[in-house]
Amino acid sequence: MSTLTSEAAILADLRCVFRESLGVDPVTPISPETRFFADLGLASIDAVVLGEAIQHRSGRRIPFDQLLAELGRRDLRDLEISELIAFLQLHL
Amino acid sequence: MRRGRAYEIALVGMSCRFPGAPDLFAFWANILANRDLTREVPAERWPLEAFYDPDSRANDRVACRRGGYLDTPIPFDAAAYGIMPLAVAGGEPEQFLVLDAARAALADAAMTPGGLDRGRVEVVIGRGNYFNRGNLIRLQHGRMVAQTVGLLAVLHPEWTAEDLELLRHDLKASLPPFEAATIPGQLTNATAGRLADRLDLNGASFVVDAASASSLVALELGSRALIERRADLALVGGVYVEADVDFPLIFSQLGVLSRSGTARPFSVDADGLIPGEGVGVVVLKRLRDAERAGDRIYAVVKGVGLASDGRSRGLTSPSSKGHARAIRRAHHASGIDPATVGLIEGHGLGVPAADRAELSALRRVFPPPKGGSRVLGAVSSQIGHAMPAAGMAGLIKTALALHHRLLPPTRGADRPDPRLAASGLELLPAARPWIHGDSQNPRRAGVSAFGFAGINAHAVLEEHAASADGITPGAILEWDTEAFLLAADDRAGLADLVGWLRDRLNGGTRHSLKDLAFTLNTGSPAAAGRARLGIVAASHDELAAHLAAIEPRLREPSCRQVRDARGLYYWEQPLGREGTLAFLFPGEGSQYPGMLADLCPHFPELRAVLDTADRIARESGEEVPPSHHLFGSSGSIPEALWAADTAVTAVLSSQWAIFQVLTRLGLRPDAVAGHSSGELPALAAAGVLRTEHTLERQLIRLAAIFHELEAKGAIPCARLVAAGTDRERAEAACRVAGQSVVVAIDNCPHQVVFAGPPAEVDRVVAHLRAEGVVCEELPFARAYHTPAFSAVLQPLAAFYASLELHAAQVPIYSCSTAGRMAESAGELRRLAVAQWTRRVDFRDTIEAMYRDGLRVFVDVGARGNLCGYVEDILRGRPAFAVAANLPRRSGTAQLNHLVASLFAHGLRLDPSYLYARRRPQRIALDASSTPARSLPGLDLGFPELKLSDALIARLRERSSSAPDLSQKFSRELVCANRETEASTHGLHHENNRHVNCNEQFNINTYVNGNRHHGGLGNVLPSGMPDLLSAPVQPHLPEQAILEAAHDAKHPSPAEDEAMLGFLGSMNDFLSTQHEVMQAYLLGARGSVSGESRDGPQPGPWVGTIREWEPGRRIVSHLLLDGDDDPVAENHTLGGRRVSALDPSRKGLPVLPFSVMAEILAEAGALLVPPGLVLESLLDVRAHKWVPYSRSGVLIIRGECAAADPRRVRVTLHHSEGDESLASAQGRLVYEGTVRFTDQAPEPIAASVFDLAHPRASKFTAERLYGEQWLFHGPPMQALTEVGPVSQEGISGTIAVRPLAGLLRRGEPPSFHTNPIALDTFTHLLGCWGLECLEQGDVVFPLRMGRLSIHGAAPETGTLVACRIQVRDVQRHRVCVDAELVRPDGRVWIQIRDWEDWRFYWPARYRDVFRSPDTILIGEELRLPGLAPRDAIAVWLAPPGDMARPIWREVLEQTQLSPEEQAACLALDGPEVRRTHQLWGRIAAKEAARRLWLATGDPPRFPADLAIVGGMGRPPRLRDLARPESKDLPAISIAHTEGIVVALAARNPDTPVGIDIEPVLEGAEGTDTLSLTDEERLELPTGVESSPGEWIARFKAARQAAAKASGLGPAADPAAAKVVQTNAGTGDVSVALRDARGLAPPVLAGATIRVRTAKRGNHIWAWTLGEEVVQP
Repeated sequence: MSTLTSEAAILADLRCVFRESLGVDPVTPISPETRFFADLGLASIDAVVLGEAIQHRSGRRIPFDQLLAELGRRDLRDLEISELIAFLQLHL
Repeated sequence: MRRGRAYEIALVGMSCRFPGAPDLFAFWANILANRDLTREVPAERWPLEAFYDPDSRANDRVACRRGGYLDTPIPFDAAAYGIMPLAVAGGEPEQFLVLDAARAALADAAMTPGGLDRGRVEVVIGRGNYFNRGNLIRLQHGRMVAQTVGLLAVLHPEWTAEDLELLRHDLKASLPPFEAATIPGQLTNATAGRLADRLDLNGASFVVDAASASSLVALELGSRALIERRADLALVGGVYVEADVDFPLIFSQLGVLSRSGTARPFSVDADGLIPGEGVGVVVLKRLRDAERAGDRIYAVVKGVGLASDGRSRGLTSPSSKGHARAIRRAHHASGIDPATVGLIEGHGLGVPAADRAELSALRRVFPPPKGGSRVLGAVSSQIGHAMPAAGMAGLIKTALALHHRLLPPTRGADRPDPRLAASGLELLPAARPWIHGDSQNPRRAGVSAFGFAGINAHAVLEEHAASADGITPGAILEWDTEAFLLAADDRAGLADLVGWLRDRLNGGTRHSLKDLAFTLNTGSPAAAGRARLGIVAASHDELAAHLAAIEPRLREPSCRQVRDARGLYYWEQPLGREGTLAFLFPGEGSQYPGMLADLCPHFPELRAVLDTADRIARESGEEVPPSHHLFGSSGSIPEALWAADTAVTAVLSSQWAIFQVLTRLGLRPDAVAGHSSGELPALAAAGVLRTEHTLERQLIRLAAIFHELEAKGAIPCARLVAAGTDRERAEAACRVAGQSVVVAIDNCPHQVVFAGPPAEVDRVVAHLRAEGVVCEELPFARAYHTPAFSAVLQPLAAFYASLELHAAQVPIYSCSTAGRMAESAGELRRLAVAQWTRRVDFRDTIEAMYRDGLRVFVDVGARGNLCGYVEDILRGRPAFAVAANLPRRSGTAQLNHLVASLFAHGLRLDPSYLYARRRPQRIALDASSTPARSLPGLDLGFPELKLSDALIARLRERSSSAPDLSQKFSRELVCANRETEASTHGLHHENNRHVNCNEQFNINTYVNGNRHHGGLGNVLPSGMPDLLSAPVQPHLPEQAILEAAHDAKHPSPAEDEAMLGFLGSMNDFLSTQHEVMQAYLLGARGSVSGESRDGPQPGPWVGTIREWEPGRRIVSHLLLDGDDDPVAENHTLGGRRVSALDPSRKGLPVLPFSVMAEILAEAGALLVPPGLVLESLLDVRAHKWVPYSRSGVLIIRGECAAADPRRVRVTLHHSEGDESLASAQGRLVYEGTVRFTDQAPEPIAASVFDLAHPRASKFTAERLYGEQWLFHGPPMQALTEVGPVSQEGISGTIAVRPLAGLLRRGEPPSFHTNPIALDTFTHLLGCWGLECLEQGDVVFPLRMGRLSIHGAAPETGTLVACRIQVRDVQRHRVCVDAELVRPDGRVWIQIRDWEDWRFYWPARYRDVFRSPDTILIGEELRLPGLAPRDAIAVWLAPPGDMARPIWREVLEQTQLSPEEQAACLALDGPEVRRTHQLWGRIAAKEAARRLWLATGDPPRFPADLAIVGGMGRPPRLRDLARPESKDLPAISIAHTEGIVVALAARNPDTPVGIDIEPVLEGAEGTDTLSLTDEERLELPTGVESSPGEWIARFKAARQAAAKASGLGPAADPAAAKVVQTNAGTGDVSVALRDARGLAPPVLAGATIRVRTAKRGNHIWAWTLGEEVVQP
């Protein structure tokens, strides 16, 4: 059992990662509906950085490449934080 | 040749009001967003419930409920114009709309009425001489009030004179005023005159009516006034308001309204027009005057062409020639070559015939464009057809398209008419920048407007480049977002400022966001403040939310910065000091389709660079310019964006374009760097390349170099992969997995690009992916930045060597040295060349720039990649990067983010550039807002008569004391009813023709057709079900005479008159009958109120009523002649593709089961008390199919059940022939019971439908109809989807289709069931049969146990689910239950105990109806020693079903030519003869078709061939495609019971003969008496005991020989006798008698060889007349 399993816990942890690793701290707190690109103004490089940071924190390999490849195939290339949380729940 | 003076007229001012748009700007925004501004007709124009009926063709019904109507209220400040409110109330709104628009157009032209030279202004307004509010007011005041009062006086004798006088006053009081003061408001020409009056203009003023061409005719007249110097300024306009239902009625009668309610001009979905309305006014000046005055010129009118159709098909028919004439004249007047026109605003009615004519005209005039396509559009797709104002809508739209260099979109572009592509025309689904690479010709556009009665107008327009490129007021005012820049001396001051602004926003008026931003951002001294906040917001609400969110953060000292991508930027420590701003130029890879498209219309400077790129491409010979790849166009391919040359021009041009915008915002970089090929624009930005006109030349050369290298295949290739890791790790992977793979680009700690041979790169990728590194292959494979690229350095070196370089004005950083470039030109060149082979060390370069003090980085590309790299490189350090453009955000939004964030970082910039072309208004934020004076709105609608409540109360009281009038009324009507019935019978005896049309009411009528009928009754093939057994054989000796009378092409005038008189009396009769029926229906309700409209109407198919006792019985006759009957047209057994020569030929038209069910209901409804609705149909059985035919009559008999007056038993008898028979009996074909109830049963819950083991059907709805598995025409093709299927059932989707599709013109659209939906259920059931039944898979309706209808019918277009549950499958029957389920899951139609009959046909008999040309139903008989191309025989033994009358008729219809069909019909004698005739013809044609197929000729339709001859003459083949051809195969036909054989030989002169004989057994078989003695001797030995087979061989051989000889069928051994046999081969020699009349004569006296063979129990014999040489 990981400590990062509940959605709320993951979200809280993500907020921390966004702030510390990516320097992102929006006025309106990050919520599951927040969009990675449109709302946070991040770039695809930032997704790589985010993946690295999360893996570093959790100390385990997470198949971020799959998530990013999937993201790249979408028409609307944006990612809701809720999707990220779901992905992490699966792999943390 | 140019005629007269130059036609150069400048459009200097415009204004308009169209649906959804109160002004020019909203109109243009709507067009660019491609919005549908049509809506349901507003109640004040005309009441839908009174006039709308999509299924009616009546002249007081409208088929479309939508239109483009102006938004109301339309405030009108009468006082400001000095007009009395009374005059406005009683006048036409058109006058005031024009007045308002004219004033706004003058303001747009920066003119005031007072500043005009009054004597030199001409006013021309286009408007129709139609019903308008003004003359309707007069009509109502005068005649209508008088009529109404008069009618009521008759009905209410109890009302006093005073009552009536009060009534008159009351009605008039409800109307707008009509008096001396209102008269000017009602004069049509005062639409122009009032303008001249109110603006005090002394030039000519007049109105012009050229129907829909009015506006452009006005343009021509106004322009002429200027050209001829009668005036110096012209106000030209067009206006139309649809005050009444008048024009919708006209359009409905003409059948041109869109029933779907959508305007889709030039689309395959076009089904008619949508009415529109509006007003537009433009201000014209001579071009030279306008230029001299410095006016903003939207566009230049280069010429207008006008033309009438001349004599044509009709005044309301569009004439392609007339259109083309006007278009040519416009070009002639302008001297402009049509080939140079890039955009055409079509008239675009959306009426298919009109669109076709228009497209044809365009094709005549405009040559197909070279490269790309010409854009066509129609504003009618958005606002409807605005009649006389339509030309103004088109003109204004087109002028704005030229001014903003935008190609506007058109609704319906997703499904264009295929004729467009064929003519090089394209409709756009979204606006596209109009990039133009033609330096010889400016952008040009045409506008068309065509009017009723054949008046055509076309205008040619041209851009005015100086105005369009200059800083001039445009028409795109609002952006999707605005930036708000706030500054104060310190944080506290900034927070106060935020609070102040929030207060301003919360109270007071809502100014335009743009004006608010302009006011806040420009001219404010506070902008100098150190504490800065940048905000981006899309709305007032968002701005308020942002302000609310930021204020507490500003007041919170711990908050050091706010960087929120939603649009909030604040830094406690801004970085934007002197010397900190760097511009970064990305290289290849930053391009994407559509980039910068949304910025082009706002920034001509940016767009101009793309024009240049196109020109470069054009001049370097490229077929398709880069803009087509960027912005999409028919013929462009996105991949082309990645070609080396396009990439160079597209990427570098777009960066240069963005750079133009950034510099105009006042941003000046302190340093620049270029990533890869981005170095070239970086050099230009630094001033090393002098950019005025030279950059484009350099780009041409560079593109040419790459073009050539790529064409030669010289560019070294490599696989390029971006990996999400740093250089160290990537290089480690390369060392492990791919020695020759190198890192070509080091972007940042989380991205490098490596390159190398594909196999090795793949290994490196695999290695990295195993470590969890994200890898992505790049979409191009050029080995840039690797040593391999040095192979092509030579031309690049030459290129750089030839550049004239200047001293850099700002430092340039090189990514190959990761440091500043040296100043010397030589060093610059060396590095610029070397970087192509060296790694791009972007990471190190940024580090170097950071070390040198650069802190703020702007990515000047369109994708923002570099911005991401910089953030990654400098993460955690004080630096900021922002992209000028991003794929994910609109161009304007990202620009606002850039401005807001750079401002917040303290950089100096000039935001006024953002508003320069958007007519910014400075607003007084602090002024206490004064509420705007609310103005009365213009009334546009119909001036309706109304009664006051007080008067209604008074008159009701008066009437309640009078006797019961409604009873009296209904008594009178019953008397009238009797009289009319009597006259009906009288009429029948006087007339002997049938008539089935009636303009007013349309009861199908049958009147005493004086016809004979042939013998009835015949033997049926055994074992047929009742349904199929009726042998009704039409026999029409009078057919030809009848047709001649009916279809006479050239009747004499006397005949005409007689016919008209006859029709007139018929109409009288019919309308009397109608009145009687209506009276009955109303009387029975005991009411004469206005509700009568909702009352039941006789249905369309109830026929002519012959006997009628409501409550008891009814007999009526429905003529089944099928002419123009959509049901007959669309329900054709045997398919819809029968002939290539006459594609209109179809299978046999047959009454659908569902239509007969409706007939039961319609007949029943006339017997039960009015007001009841259909509850159910019970035990409905079909006994026979009923084909349509000229002489067919359906006798409808209904009888109320004694026990239950709401139950009616209805039978349908079918009769062919004369009236006496029809009245006598006919044959029972259909029967059932109809039940009525007070209210439709409520929708019930759908039954559980859960198929076990469902599978996807192999059919789709398109396939079922398209491949003719079904035989229904478009109006009946309502199955839209086939769902899962299993042995237990099937589901599908049925669209509710308009039932009007089943009606003849004028038939009343009142149905009790939905025949299309019910019929479509059988389509799905048929599909199930094909899917799930291995044999007997063709199923047709037989019986319906119960049909019930629940709730109101769903609206047209609703998709209902059809679920069929199979209950039982028997040998010949399939029994099912079914439900049609509404979208809400409740049942609409429930069907119980339905039975279909199964037909057991070999598949080819089923398929021959689908494809009679390719499917062959016979079998080939091999002819020993002959190739199929020389001779072929066919054996045809159709299954028993095919002998049944119905299928025989279907086969006749689909396999025979019309002449053959007639011959079959005319046959006397036994039925079987007709059957054999048919099969013989089929077999003979098939033999010939097989011959042709064997020689590779294309398949032929049998119905396009004919067999002629017979009656003792040998049959011959005739090809209807080549009737005179003598070169057709020779044929012979023979038949015996149930089997036909045919022989065809290629050579037409071949003496062919074939025969078939059954082998008889028993006594018959041994009877050799039919043989001659000599023949008996020839019987092979050993067969004496049972010679049956050989006797058959002899008979067949004789017959075959006799046919070949031309003797014809001759059993007489004297004519042909067997002289020799060969027991082994079956060959028989037959000696032919030497006699006269033998043909061909060569065979006379000859002995010929006949081959015989046994097949089953038959012997067949054939010969090609080969002579046997006697030993």
